[in-house]
Amino acid sequence: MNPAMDFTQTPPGMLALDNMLYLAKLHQDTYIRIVLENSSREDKHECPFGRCAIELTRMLCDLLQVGELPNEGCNDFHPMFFTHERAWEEFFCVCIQLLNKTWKEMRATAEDFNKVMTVVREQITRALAMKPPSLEQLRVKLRSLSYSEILRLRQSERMSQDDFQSPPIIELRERIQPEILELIKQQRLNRLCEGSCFRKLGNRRRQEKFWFCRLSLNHKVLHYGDLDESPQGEVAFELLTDKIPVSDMKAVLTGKDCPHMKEKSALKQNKEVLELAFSILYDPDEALNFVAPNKYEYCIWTDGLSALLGKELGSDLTRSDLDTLMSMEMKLRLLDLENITIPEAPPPVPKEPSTYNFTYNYG
Amino acid sequence: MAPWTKTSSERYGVVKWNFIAKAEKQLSLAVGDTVHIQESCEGWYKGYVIKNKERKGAFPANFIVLKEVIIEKRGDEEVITSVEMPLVKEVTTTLREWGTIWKQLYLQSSKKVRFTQVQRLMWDLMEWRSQLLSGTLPSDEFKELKQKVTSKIDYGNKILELDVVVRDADGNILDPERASVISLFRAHRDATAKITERIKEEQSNVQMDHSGVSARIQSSPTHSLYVFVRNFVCRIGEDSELFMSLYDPNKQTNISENYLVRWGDKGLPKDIEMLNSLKVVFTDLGNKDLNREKIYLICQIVRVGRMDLKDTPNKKWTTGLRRPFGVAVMDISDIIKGKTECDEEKQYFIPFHPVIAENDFLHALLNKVTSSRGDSGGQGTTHSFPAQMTSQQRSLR
Repeated sequence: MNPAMDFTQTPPGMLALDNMLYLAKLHQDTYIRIVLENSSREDKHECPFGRCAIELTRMLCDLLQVGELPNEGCNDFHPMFFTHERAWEEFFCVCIQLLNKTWKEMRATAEDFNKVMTVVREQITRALAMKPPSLEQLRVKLRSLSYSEILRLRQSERMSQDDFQSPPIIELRERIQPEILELIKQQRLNRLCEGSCFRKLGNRRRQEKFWFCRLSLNHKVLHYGDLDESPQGEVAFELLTDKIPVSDMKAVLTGKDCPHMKEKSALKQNKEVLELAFSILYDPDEALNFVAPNKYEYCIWTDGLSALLGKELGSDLTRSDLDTLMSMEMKLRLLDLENITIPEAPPPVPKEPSTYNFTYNYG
Repeated sequence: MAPWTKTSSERYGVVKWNFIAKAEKQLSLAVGDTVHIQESCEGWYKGYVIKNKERKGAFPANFIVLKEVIIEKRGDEEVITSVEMPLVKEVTTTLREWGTIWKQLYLQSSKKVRFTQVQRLMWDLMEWRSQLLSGTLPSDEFKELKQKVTSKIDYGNKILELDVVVRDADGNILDPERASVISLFRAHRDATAKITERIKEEQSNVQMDHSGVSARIQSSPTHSLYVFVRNFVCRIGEDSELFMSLYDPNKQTNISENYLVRWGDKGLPKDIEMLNSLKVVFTDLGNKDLNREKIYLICQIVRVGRMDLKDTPNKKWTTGLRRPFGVAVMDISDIIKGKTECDEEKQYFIPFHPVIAENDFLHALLNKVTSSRGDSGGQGTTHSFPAQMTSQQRSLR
């Protein structure tokens, strides 16, 4: 266990020892603080100064390409290295303090050494990328890149990575989209079978009139009828006196195209009402006019009626539901591809095998 | 012409690109599917997609990313288990199970709340699973994360009314083939109790989220109560001593030490300088105290003076005798549990109950008062509870 042997491996070799010496001589307070903090901890969470210094020096050499021939193509210019006579050693001092701080933040033990070094590497790389003009600025930037900040950055990168743009993912999305749309359609129709209460238009000061509309369970008839008061709970089909067979429905109109919206009465030109209005046109030439109580019901009903007519569901709610359901479905399917990168181009399909006689024939 | 040979180590993999079968004996694959591989030949594998074991066929080897497996022989069969952490595998299967249920919840519009709840649970679990797989967590955090994950899984299973998962001390699922029946039964019993407790915690966390107090209570193990005595209004005519403490009426014991205030006969504290600064902090209240059904702040008033109040003040009588005078009782269970806001300015008036006879024990009077709710006639002490402090127990190393 000869400490001198620690410095025989190059890189970084004696450079690490030079750095440690610089720290101890010129930044004595810092050095003493680091050593004392870590020397008397009983709980195995102490940061091993010697090993850290050597590894850190090696990492810095790697990051700054110390010891290699100058790279003509590389255009990284770090002004901070020109602000101090012993810039390299100062840089080391800043970084060793960062390492100590990160070690504490991560509550690391000796076995987490490499993980801490990875995090520190990321911190230094990100800070250097910001090209701080002086060493003090570097210190400030590193302080803002605490461990929790790095975790947060990693998490947001993970989230944004999920918006896969690779071709097989897009293909898969297209393949499962019809299934999801079918699910949405089912939900809309279920909701229509439960029915909703609507308000009658007009009747300025008179009592509010309600009417209720509900789809039959076999999806073949739309029942509706007047109600005296707002319903609490289920409304039985027997109470709804009128009905329209779904096969008689011709079209669904919305907004300005609705017959009840085309009337010139001032009340009916209210913009909000316009956005919630829809009508069913049915044989022979009649229309059933609705004003939905809110945007949600409007979307549900227009979607449901479109589904009954065999048309596509087009409301905003469908778009957002599709988004939610699709993203969850895709995430679930791609769980096993975690940490695996999808290639950019399809792998070439090899020549077909000469025989398809598998060893065990399962018939 | 190479024959198809059974594969030895290449048994399990993930599809990295969609493959469409061009011949009858080929198998179509979708990206993200996991496959079991049985045989190989000339750059092709033969196997099946795990989701659909019946359909077997051939697919190109370069469309698969192989994963390491452990192969066990159980009798004639071979059992293939992936090398992934068992917890990660559990999360994956749980997420997929919940996924199908979640879609069913979507269809029923009455279950919208549950739908969003499960969605959030699933997102959390997915994020944590990514963290576990990233391999960048230090060991302390790793253990904490495992705890959080198992807790979340248990909570989700409970609210979706799925089977209880029985775990051992490390959070790994118990293997029924390796544990005895009796230990399994005991483990089941403990697990159900623990899960119900955690559910209650989660629910109370959810309900009291807006006040933020519950989170504090959960996170710190010791609490303190700060009481500021404003005034004591009582016609005694003699010096008195007030003993204030916290009291548990169910167990009929004091749960804290007494805070003594000496009050003079003129209606002011003996120590005039203390008039506006009679403050006391009851510290070291643990979670056990917080969970008591009722906590009262009691004030026992002891008169210091002559033996009998009825006797006129006369130099002949001995003074300095301590006689019971009365009690004042206030229910502070709500304040302690954080249900009512603690306001610096709000003052509480605590009514006062005198002893009936001179030979009454204060203790008996206390019991009588705590079990009844009588009127006092305007005499009592006024207090305010400016703050409830909690202290962080985590060591700052």
